[in-house]
Amino acid sequence: MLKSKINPTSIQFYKSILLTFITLLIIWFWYSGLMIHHVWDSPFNYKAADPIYYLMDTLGISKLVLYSRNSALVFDGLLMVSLLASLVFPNRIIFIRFTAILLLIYHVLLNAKMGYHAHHLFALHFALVPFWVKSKHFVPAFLLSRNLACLTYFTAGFFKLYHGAWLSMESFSAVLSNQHAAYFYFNPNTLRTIISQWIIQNPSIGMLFFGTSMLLQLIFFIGFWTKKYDKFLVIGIIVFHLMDWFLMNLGVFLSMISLVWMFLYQINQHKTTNSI
Amino acid sequence: MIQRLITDIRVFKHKYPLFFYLNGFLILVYFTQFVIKTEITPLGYFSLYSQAASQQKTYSQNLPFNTLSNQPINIYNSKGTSFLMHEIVTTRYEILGNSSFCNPQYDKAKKLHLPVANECEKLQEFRLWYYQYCINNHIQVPTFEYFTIKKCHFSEGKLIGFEDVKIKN
Repeated sequence: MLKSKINPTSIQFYKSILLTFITLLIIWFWYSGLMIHHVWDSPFNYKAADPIYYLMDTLGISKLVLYSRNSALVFDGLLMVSLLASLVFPNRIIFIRFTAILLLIYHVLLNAKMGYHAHHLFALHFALVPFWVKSKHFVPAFLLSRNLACLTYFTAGFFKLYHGAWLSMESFSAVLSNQHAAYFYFNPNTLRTIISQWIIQNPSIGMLFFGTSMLLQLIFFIGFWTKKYDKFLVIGIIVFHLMDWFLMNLGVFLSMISLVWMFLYQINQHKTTNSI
Repeated sequence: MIQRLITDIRVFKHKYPLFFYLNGFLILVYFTQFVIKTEITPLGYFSLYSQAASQQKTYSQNLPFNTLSNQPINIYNSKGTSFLMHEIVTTRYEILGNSSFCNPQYDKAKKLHLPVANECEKLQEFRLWYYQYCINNHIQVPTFEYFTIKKCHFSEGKLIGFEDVKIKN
């Protein structure tokens, strides 16, 4: 059991790493005031035009969780306990299923209460899918999630290619100036400010960065067809999100690194008898 | 290649029928959301920054504001990554407040026969809620009477000017 936990070819190893990653992420969000009990009374209740949000409302889940600060706190606590239980009892599939449901509710309610549909948390759902199905369904669930991950990145690159921002020399400089309008004012001497301003003053460098990020995303097209280049896709995910954090100050997107395990795990060696 | 793909799909359908239909359902959901352009799909979201942006004289950002010192309040001193929430909620306050029935997707939701409500009354509580949220996030704010949200204009790290955030509804 212990041997399989530290064996990077074992599925248990990846499950433990993923659950630890998500647990630490939720602790970070808790510290940052991004849990439901921090925003439960926000005047926003934004559902946009998405049926999932209306479904949650119709089922009364939103009302139940957002009834008071205490009910929201109980929900956040449950999510934390459920994550820890999944870590401590990795073979009890019920805890991971419960965690997956709570994470989805957390995602939808947080978005509704901040008035904006942010999508970085999608990665957590994708990454968890293969673990909340029965072991006989692991392989197709894994392939489904892996393809969804490839689809997410590839379409991001495709739309950049299609809409043509990469053809504009000044576009990325303008995006950086807009993104850091107030950041530059409050933090004039940080490394991020110095490097961002250098890129702004050298639009060709900005264009190069943008083009590189677009290519990093486009290479995920390969992921649909072969696993041969998965190591490059892993580097692609990590480099893309580190740059996104450093240059754009979008650290929350680092949560998408949770997808990396699907490009590291050797599915070809997977045995259905492998304990999931 | 296409022949191989069709064979793979057939094998997949035969071997894992449940997942075959689940895959099909997901693709259908994504495609529908892509066509009607609702906001949930990652397809739509990740097209962010794909349109060319142009240089401007000033760049603006909505920020909490101290009317006593006439200065924007630093949201980047807040705990952890919560500054992002401050960037988002102050921007969304303006966008939602200037949309019909305070929901930019109101017309689309109506077309889809989803039960949409007028959210404008609730939005008037924003300033009070946001004041408390700043305090909870350890952001230094003045007393409530000197606290507001302003659209601040910056150029090359300098504050050029500021104005009230205009809300139609």
